[in-house]
Amino acid sequence: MSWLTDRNGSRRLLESFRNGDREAFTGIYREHHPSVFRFALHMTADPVKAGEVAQDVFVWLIHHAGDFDPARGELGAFLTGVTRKMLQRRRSDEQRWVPFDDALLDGRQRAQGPEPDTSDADRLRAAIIALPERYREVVVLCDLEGKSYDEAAVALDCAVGTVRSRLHRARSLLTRKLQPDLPQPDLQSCEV
Amino acid sequence: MTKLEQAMRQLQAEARAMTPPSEPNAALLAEFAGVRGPGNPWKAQWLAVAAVVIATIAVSVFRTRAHAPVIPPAAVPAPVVQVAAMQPTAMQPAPSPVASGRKARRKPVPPEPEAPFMQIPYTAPLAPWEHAEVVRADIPLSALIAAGLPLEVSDPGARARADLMIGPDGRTRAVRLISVSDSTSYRTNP
Repeated sequence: MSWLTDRNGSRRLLESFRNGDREAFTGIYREHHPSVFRFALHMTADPVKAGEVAQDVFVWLIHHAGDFDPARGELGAFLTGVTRKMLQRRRSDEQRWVPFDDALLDGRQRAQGPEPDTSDADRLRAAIIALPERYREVVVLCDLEGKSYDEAAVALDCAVGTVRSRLHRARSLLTRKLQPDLPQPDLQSCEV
Repeated sequence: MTKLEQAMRQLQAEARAMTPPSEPNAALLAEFAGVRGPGNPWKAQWLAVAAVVIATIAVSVFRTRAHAPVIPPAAVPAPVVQVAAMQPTAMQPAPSPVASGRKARRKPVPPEPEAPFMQIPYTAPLAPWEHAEVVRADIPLSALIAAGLPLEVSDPGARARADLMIGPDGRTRAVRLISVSDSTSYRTNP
């Protein structure tokens, strides 16, 4: 029954937030900001960018609080979906205008890859960033943020089976990436 | 525990350590107070004023467009123009009131003769619901020839002052020549 109480509490909090209760908004922010920030951080590997995206998400929530339908899922999953859209929009904006120096640097880094004497965590971070986005999202949500398949499916707006298959494929890619002895996969050319 | 799981846990711990304190900053609270906060008596009044202003602008735009002559795209003829027959004019910049030292008086401008628009070949005609903008510009005649207009020109460096009918997609659909200047007069009076 505790989950039911929690769910009702969240709904009451959200209702108060919609009615202009500042404390309710602060409560929602405290509850969901860490997961939003971490999702953005794992997706971008940039704390500054992750902070900006998290800020954008909550500004968006203030303006579009009515868009959330509690019948379709939890607020956390909804906010993850909003974060995902924000990241996609930001990336498309960045791809439109890339400074020449950054483009050169990015290409050089990509060609070199991580340093050989880095830790497993650094290699894993580099490998996650190099994953195609659809694989990166499920790895971040299920393996790094500990979401269930159902929650990830709601956040990613896809079927649970799709989440499972993408996660399986992503894990096998990451495992091979962490074992330098094996032939390395070309992560960008992976297809579902 | 596999190597992948160990690295995952390490990444989780690093991400938790990097997570900033979960307190909404001042900018976010100000945004909240501006949008959803109570005790904002001016908000409704500002919204009402904004609605009235928007409605006024919309009505004036609608009236302007309703009175503007609509040029049906299908009726645009494509005659062969004898450029030499047009009156050459030197393109000089309009005298500025500051340079002349006195306030420029506006003289009534005589209406220009309505020349027909020439459709640019191979451009899609405007649909009935599409709007077109007419922009006056000075362009080289060679550009008009390159666009496919049937112009007979003796001076390839000549420039023309023309009205361009520009569709909603930004493409020029038709051209109306106003005047032509030869290359010599343009170079001396850029």
